[in-house]
Amino acid sequence: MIRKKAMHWIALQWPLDEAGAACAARPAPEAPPDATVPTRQALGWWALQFTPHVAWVDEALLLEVSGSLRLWGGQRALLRRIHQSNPALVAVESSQEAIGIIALAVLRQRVQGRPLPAQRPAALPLATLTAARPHLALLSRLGLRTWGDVHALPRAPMVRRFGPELRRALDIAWGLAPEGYPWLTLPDRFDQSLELPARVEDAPALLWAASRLLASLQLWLRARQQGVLAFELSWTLDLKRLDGRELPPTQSLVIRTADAQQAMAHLRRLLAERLAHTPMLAPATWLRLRSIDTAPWGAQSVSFLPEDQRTGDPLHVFIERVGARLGPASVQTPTLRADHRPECMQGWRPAQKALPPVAARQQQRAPAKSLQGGKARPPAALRVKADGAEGGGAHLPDALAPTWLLREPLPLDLQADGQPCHGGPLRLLTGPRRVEAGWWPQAPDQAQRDSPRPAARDYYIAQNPAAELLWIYRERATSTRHDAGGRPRWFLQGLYA
Amino acid sequence: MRALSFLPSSISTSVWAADELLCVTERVAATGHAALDAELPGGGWPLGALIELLQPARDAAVWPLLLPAVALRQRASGGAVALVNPPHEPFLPAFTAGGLAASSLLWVRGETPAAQLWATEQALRCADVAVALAWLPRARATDLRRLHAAAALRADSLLFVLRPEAALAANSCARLRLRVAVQAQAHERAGWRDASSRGAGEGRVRPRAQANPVVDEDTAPSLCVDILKRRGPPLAAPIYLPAQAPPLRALLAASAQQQAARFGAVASGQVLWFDDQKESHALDRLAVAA
Repeated sequence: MIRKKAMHWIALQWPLDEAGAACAARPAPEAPPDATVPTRQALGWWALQFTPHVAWVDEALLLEVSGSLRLWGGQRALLRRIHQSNPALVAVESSQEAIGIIALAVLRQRVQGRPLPAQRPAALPLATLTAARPHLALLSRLGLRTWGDVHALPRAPMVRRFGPELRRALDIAWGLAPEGYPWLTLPDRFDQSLELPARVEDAPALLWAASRLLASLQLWLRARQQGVLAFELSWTLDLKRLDGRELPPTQSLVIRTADAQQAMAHLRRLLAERLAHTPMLAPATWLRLRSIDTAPWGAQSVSFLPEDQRTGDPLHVFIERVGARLGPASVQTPTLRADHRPECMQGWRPAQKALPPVAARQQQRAPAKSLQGGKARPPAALRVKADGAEGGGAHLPDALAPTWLLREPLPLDLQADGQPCHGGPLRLLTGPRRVEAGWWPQAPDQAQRDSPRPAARDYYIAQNPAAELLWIYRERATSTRHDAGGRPRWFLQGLYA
Repeated sequence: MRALSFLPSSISTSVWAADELLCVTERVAATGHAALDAELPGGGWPLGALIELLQPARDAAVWPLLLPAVALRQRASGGAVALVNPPHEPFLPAFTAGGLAASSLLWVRGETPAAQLWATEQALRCADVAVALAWLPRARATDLRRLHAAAALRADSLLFVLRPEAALAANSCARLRLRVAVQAQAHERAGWRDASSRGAGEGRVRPRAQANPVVDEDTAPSLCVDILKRRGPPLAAPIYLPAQAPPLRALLAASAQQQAARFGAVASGQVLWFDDQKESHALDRLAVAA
């Protein structure tokens, strides 16, 4: 009696076609063009959050929820939750019964719009039973229309005539045999392939197909409580050679991000920018997405205090997005070096490389959580790592330094009396400030990195007729390089602006 | 507010009469210059809006005006400072001396005007970018409107767009529009004002500058800031701000006096000016220089 009342099986069906490819391959008018339907496998991973017993049976996803029904607050609450958290943009059809194949049969009746018999399973039409499908013509000629008709047949002749599968399915339906399926498990690494509905020749179309895989990746990440740091998208080329040139079998693209992500919007955008810059060698037929690096994902705690409400992207999103479109070197952060030559005091490197690794950031995040303050977060995700090579003295704040630096000092014209000119004759206001550096032998790697030239200079602050202050220097006579006439050479290296 | 005195106080505070400065509740960031704060609606740079600065040249002096506010803002919010398409490489010791952490600087480069504009917009969308400064010499009015809208998305963004003076005649959607230029000497200032072409494109009649503009103690150049557009009446006379940080200013004054003394021609009216706090530092450097 208890078994009759308990509805322990739920059957779910999305309007996907048989191969599991997107129904979106047929453009549905009501669906938005970028409708993301995860792959069939990923939908199964999504259902694993409700119960560990999930299996694809024919076209439907069967969930055995007897163990977790109380956790979710009962049948009705669970179904409501399933419908609300449905990851596909298309609605899901569901049915619930005490036994899985009955739930499946009810679902089939419902999808086809046929009335549901009151007596289940006896009055269900035979067409809804998978095991009976090979014998449908024969059964109907025998006048057998419902499950109950076949169930009433004598056992042994029926097994001889139709095979054991049909008998076993009916036994399951009447509760005489246990029901079990190979349950879905969650793989350790995400690796999915997708056959493209047509040969894809341009990157935007590839992106559209890849967004399906990204949606699947998101479900996998959620099921594993992970965030992705790097993934690889590769596509199989349709041509072996083009214009007499051998082509590789696949082309691939690796996308990396600094912070473990579950939301796909940023990754999809990065992928779009990268795809826009990647020429496709040949049309693609298959698409494959593989996770390379993941990290445990912790959601940010939400605050209701108005001052903690910050709108906008995190810093790494900005840096990666600009880097993806304009090139990684387009956003740069400074690095400081111990040197007295101004052009060697600082260097610039791509900000993407300066983003601290994930472990460091999680350590940063942990105390912030305990303080319960979004604003109490450490100042910036971007913090230049302290280099061992950095000394203390060279990059002390210098209020007398100019704000703009000319990395290549600009040679200044000289008047007849040796006065330097830049937009008119320059008037020296202060100086000299003597810098003599770089005379020591350079390490070979350092010599290549920055200019190893020894510098013997006298720095002056000068003013031109337009009242602008300039930072100029004169090469001293002890320097190895001289003007042909032996006159000292003047250079402009900074602007007080 | 006198004209609106008949209104109940709850209403009159939210009504802005165009002949007085808008003193509303809009969020501002202090500029670090008291003279400028007094002339800006709300008493500082408006947040979440476009601030347009017109310069005579791309690398003309602008940091003495901006650096105090940028450093304050960066320290308060802890974000990054994005420099989009700056004319030259920023020299970090000067920024560190101004109170701005060197590691917070982001140098954003874009090849084309469209890329620069896009990068600026992305910087504005980023919550961790405290201040965005963009040198956009070829920005059009629609581009500025786009940036203005992007800045308005976040209430705490501070955006400066630096454009050449040639854009003076063109209209702009900026909340605040200033012209910044370096001026050499105090006595030249009045002449410069008369000779300036301001008013030709704007058709405004302004009262003449007072006979005695702000007289600086020394002959060091100063920064002439002219507010072209604000929510309030037109500015009568430009504001003069020091064109250098106080230590540098002290050093220049000291060396000027030294030179004058060397040639035995100390001007009678010339007064040395030292910043009390930075005096020792400047003198240290003087000893080195001498």
